[in-house]
Order: sequence, then C-alpha cells, then structure tokens
Amino acid sequence: MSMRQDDGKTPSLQLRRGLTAGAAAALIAIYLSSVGLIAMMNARPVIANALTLAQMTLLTIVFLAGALSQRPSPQDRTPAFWTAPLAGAVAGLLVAGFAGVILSVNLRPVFIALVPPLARLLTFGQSGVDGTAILVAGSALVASAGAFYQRLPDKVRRLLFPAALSVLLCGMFQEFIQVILQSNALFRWLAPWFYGWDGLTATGALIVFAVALAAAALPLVYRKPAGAGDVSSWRRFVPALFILLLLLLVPIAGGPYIAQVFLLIGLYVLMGMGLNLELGLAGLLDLGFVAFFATGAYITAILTADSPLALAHYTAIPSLSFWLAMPIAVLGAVLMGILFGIPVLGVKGDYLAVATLGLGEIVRIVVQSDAAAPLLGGAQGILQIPKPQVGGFQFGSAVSLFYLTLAAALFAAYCAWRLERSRLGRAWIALREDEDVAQAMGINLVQSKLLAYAFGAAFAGLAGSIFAVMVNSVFPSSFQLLMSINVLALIVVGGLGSLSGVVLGALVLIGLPEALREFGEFRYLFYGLALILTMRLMPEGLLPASRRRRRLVSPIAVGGSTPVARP
Amino acid sequence: MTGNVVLRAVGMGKRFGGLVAIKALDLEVHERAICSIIGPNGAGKTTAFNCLTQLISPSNGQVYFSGTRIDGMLPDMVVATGISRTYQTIRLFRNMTARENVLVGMHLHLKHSSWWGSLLNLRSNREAELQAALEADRLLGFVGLAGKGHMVADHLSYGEQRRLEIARALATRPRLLMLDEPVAGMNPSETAEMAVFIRRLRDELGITILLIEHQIKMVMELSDQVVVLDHGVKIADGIPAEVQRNPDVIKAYLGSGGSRGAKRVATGIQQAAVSPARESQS
Ligand SMILES: Nc1ncnc2c1ncn2[C@@H]1O[C@H](COP(=O)(O)OP(=O)(O)OP(=O)(O)O)[C@@H](O)[C@H]1O
Ligand SMILES: [Mg+2]
Repeated sequence: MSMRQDDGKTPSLQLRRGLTAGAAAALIAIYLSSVGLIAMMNARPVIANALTLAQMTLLTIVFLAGALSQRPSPQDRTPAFWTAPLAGAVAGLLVAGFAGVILSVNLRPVFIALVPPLARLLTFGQSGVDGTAILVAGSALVASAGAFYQRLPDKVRRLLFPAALSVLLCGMFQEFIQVILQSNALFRWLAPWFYGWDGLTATGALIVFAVALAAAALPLVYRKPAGAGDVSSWRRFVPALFILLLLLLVPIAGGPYIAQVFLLIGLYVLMGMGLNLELGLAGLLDLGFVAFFATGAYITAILTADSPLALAHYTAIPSLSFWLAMPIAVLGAVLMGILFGIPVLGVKGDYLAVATLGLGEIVRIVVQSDAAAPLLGGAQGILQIPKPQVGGFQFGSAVSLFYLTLAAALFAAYCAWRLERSRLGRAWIALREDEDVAQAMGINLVQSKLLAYAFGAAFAGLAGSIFAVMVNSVFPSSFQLLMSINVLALIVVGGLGSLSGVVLGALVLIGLPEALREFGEFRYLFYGLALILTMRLMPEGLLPASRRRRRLVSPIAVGGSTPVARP
Repeated sequence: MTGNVVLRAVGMGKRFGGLVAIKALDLEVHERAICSIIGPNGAGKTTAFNCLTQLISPSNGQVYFSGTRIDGMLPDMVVATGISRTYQTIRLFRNMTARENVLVGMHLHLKHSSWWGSLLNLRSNREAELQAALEADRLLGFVGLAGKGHMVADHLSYGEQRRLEIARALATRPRLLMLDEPVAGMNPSETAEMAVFIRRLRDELGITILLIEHQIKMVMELSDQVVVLDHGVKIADGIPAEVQRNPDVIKAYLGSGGSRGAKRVATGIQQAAVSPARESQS
C-alpha cells in the first residue's frame, strides 16, 4: 500500500524482489509438476544419463528467477547481487517443502501426477536435512549464474543464448535428428560423435555448444570489414539459399516421416503466404481462410477421383489428371475468394474477423449438409483421389509430394514477392495503413480488396489441391476453423508481411507440435507458449518484414526544380 | 481576379445527427486562385473539405468541379477528376517510405503497371515503375525532401511529413489542391516558407488552391479570395481587403463567447485591418 519513493537500492525493496522472484519460480515449478508435465518431460533426455528435459526445465526456471531478480528497477538501478541467490534459495526451499508434502501426504486423489517419484525428481534425488541444504545451496548457485548472465554485456549474451539453445534443441529432438542421421551413410558416420544409443552424449553437447557459439560469433567477425551495412546483393540471398538447400536435403535424408511433417509445413507455408497477402499487406483479417483451401481440395476431388461422386461419373466431363485439375481448383478457389469478399467489402476490423469466421463456417456446414451430399458426399467425403503422375513416375511418396509442394511454394513465394513490389501491392499496403486516404488517392477499394481475397484464395486453393492428393480423400471435418487460426497464428508469429517469417512461423507452430507428439495434448501447450512468448518478446514476429531497409529502386540523383539540399 | 469558376458548391450542407455542421454553403472558386476558408474552431471548415472531396457525403446540395457534378461520387473518382487534398492531422501511410507514399499518390497515372505485368515482370511494367520512381523523386525534390525517398514516413520530422503529404497530393496531378491547415504547428520561418511554396504551386504549376488556415496574416497576404465560416454559416466571401473590414466578421469573432482561438483570430483580423498587408518576404 504505502509505496515509498524507492530507488531499487532500498534493502526492503531488494528483499521483496528476491522473495517474489523465488516464490514465483517455485510456484511455476509446482504448477508444472501438479499438471503432470514435469513427470512427462522426464522421459525425454537432453543429455544422455545426465540431464532430462524435466531437470533442464527446473534449472531454467531457477536460472530465470535469478536473472529476473537482477532486472533494473524503474529508476534504472540494478538491485544488489544478493537478491539472486536469495531468490534461488527461496525457490529451492519451497520446492523441497513441496516435495516433502508429496512424500508425507497422499495427494494423488487431487493431482494424479503427485507421486513419490516426482518428489525425488523435484529434489534431484536429495532427501533429509542435508539434502535440503544441498538443494537450497545448488538452487542459489544456479540463480546466481542467472544473475551473472543478466549482467553480462549484450554481445556476450547474444553468443551464449543461441549456443545453449542449440544444445537444448539437439538434445530434445534427438529422435528426430537421429532418424535423419541414420538414413544416410555420411551422416551415419557422423552420428556417433554426438549421439549414444540413448541420446546426446556429453561430448556431443560440448561440440554442439562450441559449433553454435562459433556460428553465432561468425557474423561479428565477418561484418567488420564489410563496412556500414552495405551488403552486396548476392550475399543477402545466402541465408535463403542455405535454407533452401536444407529443405531440399532434409526430407530425402530424413525418410518418409520427416518428409510427411515437412509436407504439412509446406502446405501451411503456401496458405500462410496467401493469408499474408490478405492480412499482412492489405490488412484484411480473414478467419474463414480454410474455405478456400477446402474449395481447392474439393474441386480436385470431384475432377480426378475414381468415385461415384466424381463429375466424370455422372456428366460428360472426362476424369482429369491432377495437372489439369489443379489449375481449375485454383481458379475455383479464386472465384470463391471473390464471392467471399463481396459480402464483407464494407466490413472493417473486428467485425471483419467475425464476418469471415461466419462465412468460413457456412462453407463447411454447406459441404457437410445432406443437401449437398449427393454432390460432395456429406460427412463421408470423397474417396479414392489418385496421386499425380508424370510419365511413369507417380508422386506416391511423401517425399515426392513434398518436392511438389516445395515447387508450388517457391512459385507462390515468387508471385508474392513480385506482388508486394507492384502497384497493386502498394495499394494494398496503403489500404492497410489508412483506407480512407488510400481511396482519396484514387485506389479503387472494391477492386483492390477483391484482388487481395482472390490471390489469398489462389494460394490456399493450390495448397488444398495438393492436400487432396496427399490424403487421397476429402472430408468436411478436415477443414475446421482451427486451420484458419493456425495459418493466422503462424504468420503473426513469423512476422506479418514477411515471406521468410511465414516459413519460420510454419516451422515453429506446425513443426514443433509434430516433433513433440509424445507429449500428447500437452504439445498444444508448447504451441500456446510459443505464441505468447513471441508476442511478449518479439511483437513484430520472429522475422519482421524489413520494410525499413527496402528501397524500390536504388537512390536516384535528381534535380528537382528547387535547389536541392544535399542530404 | 482570374479565369472560370472551377469549383462550385450549391447549397451544400452537412448534418451530424442533430448538429448542423454546415448550413447550405454556396461557394465558387476560380481557376488559378488561392482561396482561403477561415473561421473559429468548429466552424465546419474541415467538414466542408470532407464534403467537397466526398470523404463524407453532404446531406444536401450539389458540388461541381469544372462542370462535372461530383457529389455522390466515390473519393477515388473525385481525385480522378483533379481534386487532391491534405489533412488537418497528418495522415500519411506511416510504414511506407516517402517515395512509396508519393507512388501511391501516382496510382491513378500508373495504369501501365498492372499486377499481371508485375507478376510476369514485363518490360513495359518495369519502365513504367522506373519512370514513376523518377517522377516521385522529382516531386520529393520539389517539396524539399530530396534524398529522403527511402525514409519511412513515420521517421520524418513533423515539417517534412507535412511536405510529404503535399508531395503525395501533387502526385495525383491535381488541378485543385486543398490544404487543411498546412502550417499548423510550424514555427514562423517554416510558415513563411510554406506561404512562398503555396504561391509557387499556383504560379509555377497553375494549380488552384483551397486553403484552410488560422493564421490571419498569412491568409490575408496570400489569398485572392477569403471565405469566412461561423457555426456552419458563410458570413463573408470576397477579396481579403473587403473581408477584413466586414463588420459581421469582426463581430462574429469577438462575439463568439470568449473562445481563445476566436479572440486570437479576431485580434489578428483587427491588426491586419489596421496595417495594410505587407509584401511577403521570401
Ligand atoms: N464525424 C463527425 N461526427 C459528428 N460530428 C462531427 C464530425 N465531424 C465534425 N463534427 C462536428 O462538426 C463541427 C465542425 O467540425 P469541423 O472539424 O469541420 O470544424 P473546423 O472548422 O475544421 O474546426 P478546427 O478549426 O478546429 O479544425 C464540430 O462541431 C464537430 O464536432
Ligand atoms: Mg478543421
């Protein structure tokens, strides 16, 4: 209540800071334990025989508590160092107390996860008075490390963080990476350096840490001679080429499962690029986006399927190949986009979200309805959609379909990239920035908005067409609202309006839950966590659109009719 | 004065619910004239601008621009007839660069740069875009923003943003340029520069100017015609010398119940009436 004018150095304030940071850390640990997540994480080793994900999480929580206790006060003063070990000790003590409670009281009727093994896990196997003392001291030490890290200069932190993160990822996703490594002779030779039969080895962890550290340091060393940010044009594409190469190789190397995951990511990237035109450029929020995807899938189905519902079965239209059906599906989706856009032309902002959500649901319900069942199969859907074929080659495997998707995505990315730099792209951005003024500048709102919906729909229709041949069948239940939300979330996380952001967003939001399958429903917790963390820490997205650095044409020397001041 | 009537409003009115913002305004602006609209805060000046450009539709009356009836048109068609404007509160496309802002202004005249041409990267498209970029840079130079084309609009200084807004308006190639308080928030020397610049727009580019301005001294020096609005009613219309002697105007300003802005304006009018308008120094 009585808030004095604190400068962050007052002992009572510092005491409070340490105590709250410690208590908060303990609360989070207790919460994660109670819902069963810690026990589940314990099944996943980060470093074989040394560190599980659960232990890593507990340590990270205490580490962060230490770091946070050192955060400068509003008056920009850093609290004394002792707040960090205090926070650590408090956290250790509380967690040890909690473990004691688990051991002495049967809490299983309340929280099924609270069993004695969990208590041992929380206390890192320590027990008794001595054990508690060790735990508290260790916890204080870890928190101090956090405080130390917080006090390091930014430059050093920017090196250490990616290195530690790399170790974590290499350990956590070891199964995933192992599959890739085992599938290829060259990699198979490399694998023993890093992985034992049960996970990342300690040497492996060290190597990964060192390599990541060096990689993070490389730009620092490298940039110095290059001068003030004037990067020659080819060099800017090096990261993109590198990613492309990775995308080309990983599915072959990784085998069908990895290819399947990447295929799914690829389809989301396609849709993400479509929605990016609508929302990222034109600012038109669209929660019914899945309708375009469904249109593409259904048109492909009725044109190509070997089923009584195919057009070929009851009309004179012959059964088409995928290659002919796909452009028609895209055109159909474009038509749907325009039809979809017309009723919401005058709707703005929040209302647009609700209106498009409604439209998307209408499409799904119509497809599902009995009225449309004779044409679209209702809930039974349309089955037996053949795979695409070129000559004798069939795009039967996930790997080949992935390459098809990659080609489609590259084509779409090229289109999106061109569009963004076109007169229409500028009109879209102007529309997003200030619709009234854009119109007063001569931009035809109806035309530009419908074109935005049409292009967005085209990309989604293309994705839908590939989706149909991927799963060989289409059902209304595949086209849930959640899909629209996923696409929206991934472009927001990646960075609205940014092409590379779409790719990264899809990797994080679609790839991460796939890689965390064993966590069951909990993997959506990571999804949510990824969303919240990005929005809190990087509200512009992971790879924000670099509108700032962009120039339409290189600066032109101009002689205006006024004497121009030299910049 | 000058040529034909280029802009004509007949009985143009605007109601917001019960509030009559403008009551049956008749207005005639001549070709190549600089016409100013003045009046106390809330007199309906900006509303008049919005109605003339069809940003909001007038409740009654008609608006003609060089013979064409424009009321009821969409704003994008109005600008195609040759009317362009700036806004009282700066309304740039804030995340776009200065050059892009101007290029959006050239939207109407860039018909050769179609979206399918851009997708195919056609030569004609690239040429049109390059020409447009050159023209945009020339316009930026004209308003004194040479070399700032790559800057994000939001990062420009206040005065630069005001000038960018004018460059963007000029990019539509208007015959009538409407400026809503272009010197609001500027210091005296910037204000003087802007006055010179506005006159140049008329003299060099032959653009008719409709201006909303609170600084009476600038208005009296610059204008060929002054229109005074008060509570949505036009109380005077004529050459500056006439208007500043008009007893209605002085009374309206002094009588409007102690609003500070109004008093300031009233003092301005009286001072201007006492001392004959000086030549503007460049
Ligand atoms: N969109 C609107 N809805 C309701 N009332 C409005 C609207 N726009 C303007 N008004 C009202 O109309 C009247 C005239 O406003 P206007 O902005 O045209 O005045 P102004 O002469 O430009 O004043 P200022 O010198 O302060 O810019 C004011 O009373 C204002 O509150
Ligand atoms: Mg106004």
